[in-house]
Amino acid sequence: MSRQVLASAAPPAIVRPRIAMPSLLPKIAAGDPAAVESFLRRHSGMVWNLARRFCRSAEDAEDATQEIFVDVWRSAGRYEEAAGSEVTFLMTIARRRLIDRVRRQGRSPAPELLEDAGTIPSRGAPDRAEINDEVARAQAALAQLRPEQREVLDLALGEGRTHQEIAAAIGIPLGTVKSHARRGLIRLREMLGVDPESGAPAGGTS
Amino acid sequence: MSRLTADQWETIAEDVLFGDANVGGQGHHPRPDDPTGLAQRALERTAAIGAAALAGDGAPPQRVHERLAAAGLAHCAAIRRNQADEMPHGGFTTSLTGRATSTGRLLGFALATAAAAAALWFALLQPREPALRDLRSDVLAHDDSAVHADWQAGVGEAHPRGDVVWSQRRQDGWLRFHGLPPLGPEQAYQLWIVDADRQGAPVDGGVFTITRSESPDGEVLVPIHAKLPIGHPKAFVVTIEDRQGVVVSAQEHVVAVASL
Repeated sequence: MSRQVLASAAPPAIVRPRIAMPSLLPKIAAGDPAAVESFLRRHSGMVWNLARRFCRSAEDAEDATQEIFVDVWRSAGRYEEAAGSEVTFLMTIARRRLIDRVRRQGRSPAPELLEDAGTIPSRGAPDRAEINDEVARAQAALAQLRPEQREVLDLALGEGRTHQEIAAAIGIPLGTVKSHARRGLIRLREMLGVDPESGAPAGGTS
Repeated sequence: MSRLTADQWETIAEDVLFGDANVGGQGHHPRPDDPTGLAQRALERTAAIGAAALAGDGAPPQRVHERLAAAGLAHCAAIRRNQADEMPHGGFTTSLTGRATSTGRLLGFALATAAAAAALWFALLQPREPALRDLRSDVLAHDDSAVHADWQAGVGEAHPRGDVVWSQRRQDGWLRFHGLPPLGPEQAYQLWIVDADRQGAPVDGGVFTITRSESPDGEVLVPIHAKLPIGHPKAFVVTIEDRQGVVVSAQEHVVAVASL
């Protein structure tokens, strides 16, 4: 009996029913203070923790976080729900600001964060019961990546490291870093079902 | 996948992760029907949500949260002001524009204006315009984010009486004076806000002039509309400077201090 080997297609997109959370950005653009407070409750921790991982110091992370949210307040009127989720909008701005800051300030040697009591960001799945569904799917997708791809993306996306820094940190050739990074990001897109036509993940927006 | 080849996708992915002309639309601005641009946008959004997934959990320190909230509230206040067209009428109105400068420490050493200075807008209260008084009273009575401090006695030659009311939620407030004298044509009062969140860099509050008071009791009420978020106001200080204001104050004439 011949054994059929199923062709290894791209893994199916991880799509689960979404908990609809209307975006606060239109209200923020209209000047609603309550929307600002709610937005910060939803997302400030995520941005703060990413900034802590990117930046040299807690003080720098604080300034970076402030810059990001000021940019968000000013840009809120340009948000289009059809083009992507509130989280995607926010984190696109966050990545831009943090990468610009790191490149402007330089980062050599690798950053040593000042550990403030109670502010050490956790790495890995959060413990809290409620979590943004889109982020949860992305975490699940990252966990399904090949370990070497995940490791590179963790440094590239999670800390804004350059390919040279990653190669030095992990101890692998530069070309291998690039290969893992490219394929990891592409695989992540496929698993999340981010549609090139709209930019939105499969199943609409959260 | 779209019409792009696997190699093209990989090139774009590398650019999104490590390149310069990718993040936030810098450099490349794809047309809606440009496959390369669409792929870039999709990967940028993937990168954004990937970063969110990797960021981890944990609330920012309370100080950081308050600073962010203040910036957001200041943004909302600016939008409301633009929508409401709040310029009061009557009296002596000195509109002010802050300057982007950097400041040093106040009260004992030279001031330097902050790189992003607050702009304050001042007006004299008209006895026939009770709205400012009423609003101030309402804030004092009902706004739990409001802070209030009297001008300290014995500061400066003018010895002004009065107080400062500041609403952290509204990001505005009022200076009230009894006995603050008019100045000569070459001088102006300048306000400085010491913000604990700015680590020794007071916010330039702009300049204002008082030529006369319309109030029968000699009271002057000056509304404050800061354009920069104030995180933790610690003190309001008024100095006398050149009419156009200064970048660095010699602190020769500190006329009023209200500490919180």
